[in-house]
Amino acid sequence: MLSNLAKMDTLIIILILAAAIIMYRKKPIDKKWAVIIFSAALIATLILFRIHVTSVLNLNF
Amino acid sequence: MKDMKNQVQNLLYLGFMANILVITGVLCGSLYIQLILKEYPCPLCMVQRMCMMMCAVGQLYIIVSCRDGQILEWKNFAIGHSMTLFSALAGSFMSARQILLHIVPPDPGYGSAIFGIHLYTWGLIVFLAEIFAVAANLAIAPKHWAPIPRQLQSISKWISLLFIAIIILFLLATFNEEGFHWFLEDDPTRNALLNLH
Repeated sequence: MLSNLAKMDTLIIILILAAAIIMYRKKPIDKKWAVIIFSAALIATLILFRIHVTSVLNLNF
Repeated sequence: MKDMKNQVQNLLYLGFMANILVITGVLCGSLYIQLILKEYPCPLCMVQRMCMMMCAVGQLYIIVSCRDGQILEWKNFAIGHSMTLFSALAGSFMSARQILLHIVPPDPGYGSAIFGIHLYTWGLIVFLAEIFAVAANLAIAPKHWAPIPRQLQSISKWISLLFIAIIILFLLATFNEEGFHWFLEDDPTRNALLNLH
């Protein structure tokens, strides 16, 4: 899992960029996709953060 | 009364644009530190940058929802603000986590300090300011919006394009730092691909 983290950073920024470009194009049908891609980017960022936290400190919650 | 309502909505619209500009400025600052001062971001700095970008994407959603003479619907206003709020909350957790990581003396902190405060602490300040801005916007927003003046709309187009350009720059800088390697180091000291001196 850890081995994919570096690539995940780049992928998340690609998702954010895709959401921003779709919003900018502004066709009504695209709006829903922009929100879906944004949500995917946010969830991926949280997963990435969670992996960093638990991998560095090995915390138990 | 109607004029005052229009002024409030124009001020709010200016606020959305200012929000994107401020985030773009902060992101440009971090790019300057990465590319010119050669201080490479750690994995935690990266996730905070992503959250900052997503905060601005929420505001972008609102701006484009009332472009080309369209009237801003309450639903779009709410969706945009919820995007910003979720991102700011996530980002503030990440900044707080990095502050706590370096808070115990004699840890000097990660990277250099600006005005005596490290970048991740500035990050927390920015995210808290975003949460405050969202709360303020929701408190004063009018229920029904009138069309936004054309001048403001054309400015918003340029700001949107500038923000998208900065995301592309970030994408290139991040790819340059990580390259095709499997790992992004905890404490990176050089780019994986190009190192210009």
